[in-house]
Amino acid sequence: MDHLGVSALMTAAQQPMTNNDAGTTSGALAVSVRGVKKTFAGSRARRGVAAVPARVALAGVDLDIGRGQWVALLGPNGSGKSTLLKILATVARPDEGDVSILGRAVVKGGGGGVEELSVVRRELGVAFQAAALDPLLTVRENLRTAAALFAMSPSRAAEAIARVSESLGLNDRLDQRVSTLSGGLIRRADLARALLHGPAMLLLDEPTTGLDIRAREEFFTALVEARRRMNGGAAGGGGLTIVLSTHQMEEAQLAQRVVLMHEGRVVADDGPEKLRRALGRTVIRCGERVEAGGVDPAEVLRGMGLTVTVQPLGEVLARAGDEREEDATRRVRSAADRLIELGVAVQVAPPTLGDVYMAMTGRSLAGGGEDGQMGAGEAAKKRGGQR
Amino acid sequence: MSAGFMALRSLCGRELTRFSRQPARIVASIGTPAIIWVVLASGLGGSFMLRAMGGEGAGVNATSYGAYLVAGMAAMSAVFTSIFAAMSLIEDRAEGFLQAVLVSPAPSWAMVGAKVFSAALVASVQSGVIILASPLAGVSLDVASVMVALAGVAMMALGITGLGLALAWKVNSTSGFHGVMNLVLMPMLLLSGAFFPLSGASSIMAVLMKINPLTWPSELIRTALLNGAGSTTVWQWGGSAAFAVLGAGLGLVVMGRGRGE
Repeated sequence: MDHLGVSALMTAAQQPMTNNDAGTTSGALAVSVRGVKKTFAGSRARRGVAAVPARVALAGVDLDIGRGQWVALLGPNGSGKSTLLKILATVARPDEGDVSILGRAVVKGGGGGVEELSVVRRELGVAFQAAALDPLLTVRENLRTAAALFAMSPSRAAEAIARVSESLGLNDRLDQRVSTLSGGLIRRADLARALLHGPAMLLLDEPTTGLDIRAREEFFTALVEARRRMNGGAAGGGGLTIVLSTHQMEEAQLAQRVVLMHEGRVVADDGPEKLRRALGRTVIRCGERVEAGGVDPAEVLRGMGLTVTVQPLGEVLARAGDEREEDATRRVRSAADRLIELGVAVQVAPPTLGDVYMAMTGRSLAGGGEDGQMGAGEAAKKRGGQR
Repeated sequence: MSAGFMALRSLCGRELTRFSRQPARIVASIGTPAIIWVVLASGLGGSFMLRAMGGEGAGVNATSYGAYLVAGMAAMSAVFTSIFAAMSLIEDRAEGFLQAVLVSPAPSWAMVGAKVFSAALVASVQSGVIILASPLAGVSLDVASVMVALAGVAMMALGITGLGLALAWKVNSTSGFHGVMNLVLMPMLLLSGAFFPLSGASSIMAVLMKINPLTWPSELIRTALLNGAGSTTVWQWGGSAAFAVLGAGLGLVVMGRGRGE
C-alpha cells in the first residue's frame, strides 16, 4: 500500500509543522468557505444525444484551512473537489455562499467579492490536471512567461527560475522543449511554474493524473522538498499552504488534514491518522459477496456484531466499532477466521482512507459501483449495508 | 513598466516564438494567398478589363487583374492569420496553457492584446512579402504606400482576431470554430472587394459590400497600393480603425466576462 513511500514522505511533509493533525500553525485562515453551492446546468436532448440533467457539484460546503496547512480534498470523480479547487483558484464562481482566500473576500453570496481578484491571484500558485505549459516552448521560456504574468522583473525571474529548478531537479532540463519531456518531468516543470512567484498558497488539482507510481513518487518528493525550502525561508505567516485535490489515498495521506468529499459535501474532516483510527486497528475486506454459494459474508459479519458496509458492486468492509482496541481487534480476527472457514477470501488489514471513505459513504473511493442516479444512501439501503 | 504591459510583452513574445517554430504554418499562410494570386491572375486575368474604377476602386486605368488582386491577397493573408491566431486560444485551452494565464494576476487585456497584436504583426509581415512581390504584377511601390497598406492589413487583423477570440472563448472544438469563421469570414472577404470591384457589382451586392466592415481596410490597402498613400480617404481610415477597435474590444469584453471580471 505504501506505493509512494508514504511513510518517509509523511515524515518530511509534516515538518516543520506541528503534529496536531488538523490544527493550524497560525491563527490566520488561508481559506474560509461558507455554504458554498454550485450546480452545473444540464442540456436538452437533441438528435440522438441524450439530455444531460443538471448536476449538483457542491451542495453546501463549509471549510476552514489555516495558513501553512497541507490539506487534501479526497474523493472520487464527481465528488466536487475539483469544482471547489477551481473556486479557490478564482476561475469559477459558486451559485451561493461566501469565500475568503488569505483573508480577502473573493465571493460574497455567490456574487463578486470585495477584493480585486488580481490581488488574490498574486498569492496563489495553481497546478491543474493538465500541465499549464506551452509544449512548443522550452521549460525556461515557459517559466519566463509565467514570471512575467506575475510581473516579476527579468532579474528576479532568472533568480526564481534557478531556485525552483534547483529544488525540483529541473536544472538540466531548462532548455528542453516541454513536448520532449516525460510526463513526470512535465508535471514537475508545471509545479515549478506554480511555485515560481513564491505563492502563499498552492492549489493542486489531481497533479499526478496519468503518471506512473515512480513519477508520482518523484513529484511528491519534489513537492515536499520545495515546501521545506520555501517554509525554511518564510518569515512568519505560517509558510506555504497546500490544498491538494486527489482520489489517491496514498497522496492524501501525505497531508496533515484530509477532507473527504462525497456528492458535493464534506463527509469527514480530520487528520489522516485520526480518520483511519476511527475505524479501529484492523478491518475486514471481502472482495465479493458469495450469496450463490449460500454464504453472504455481510450477513455473517453482522451476525458477529460487526459494523458492515456493502459497496454497490459487492465489496464488503467490516469493522468492530467503538470499543477497546484489543477487544475490537480480537473480534475482527475471529470474524475473519469464521469467514475463512466458510471459504470466503478475506483481507484483514489496518484501515486505509479508502476504507474510511467507504464506511462513510457506502461507495468505493476508486469510483467503482456508481449506481446510476442512485444516491449512496439509497444504494446502501437497497444492498442492506451501512448498519 | 506596469504589470499588464509586462504580461502583454511576454505573451506577445510567446505567440511569435510559437509561430516561428511552426514552419508549416509560415509556408501555408504565405503560400496559400500567393498560389491563389498566381492562379486567379493568370487564369482570369484575360477575362477582366478593369477600367477607371471611380472613388471606391483603385481609380486607375486598365489595371491588370493581377495588380488588382494584390490588395485582396494581402487581405486574405490577414484573414487566415487572424483565424489561426484566434483558434490558438482553443489550442491554449486544450493544451492547458490558458489555465496558467487565467489564474495569474495578469489583466485580460494583456491576454487579448497579445493575441491581436501578434496576429497583426504576423499578418503584416506575411502581407508584406506579397506586397513586395506586387511589382511583378505591374504595381509600382513607394515607402508611404507600403506603410499605409500594412497599416490596413494590421487593422483588419486586429478586428478579425478580436472577433475570432470572442467566438473561440465560447467554442470548444477547432473544427466548429473553423466552420463558423469560414461561414462568416469567407463571404465577408469575397464581398470586401478582394476579388472583384464594387463598381461592377449588382445593386444588392454593392449594398452588401458597402456595409461589410472588411471593405474599409480592403479598400484602404488597394487605394494605397494602386493610387498611392495620398489617395486614401478619411472614411477608409476611420472605417478600418473602427473595425479594429470594435473587434478587439468585443474580444476583450467576452474574455473579461468569462474570467469573472
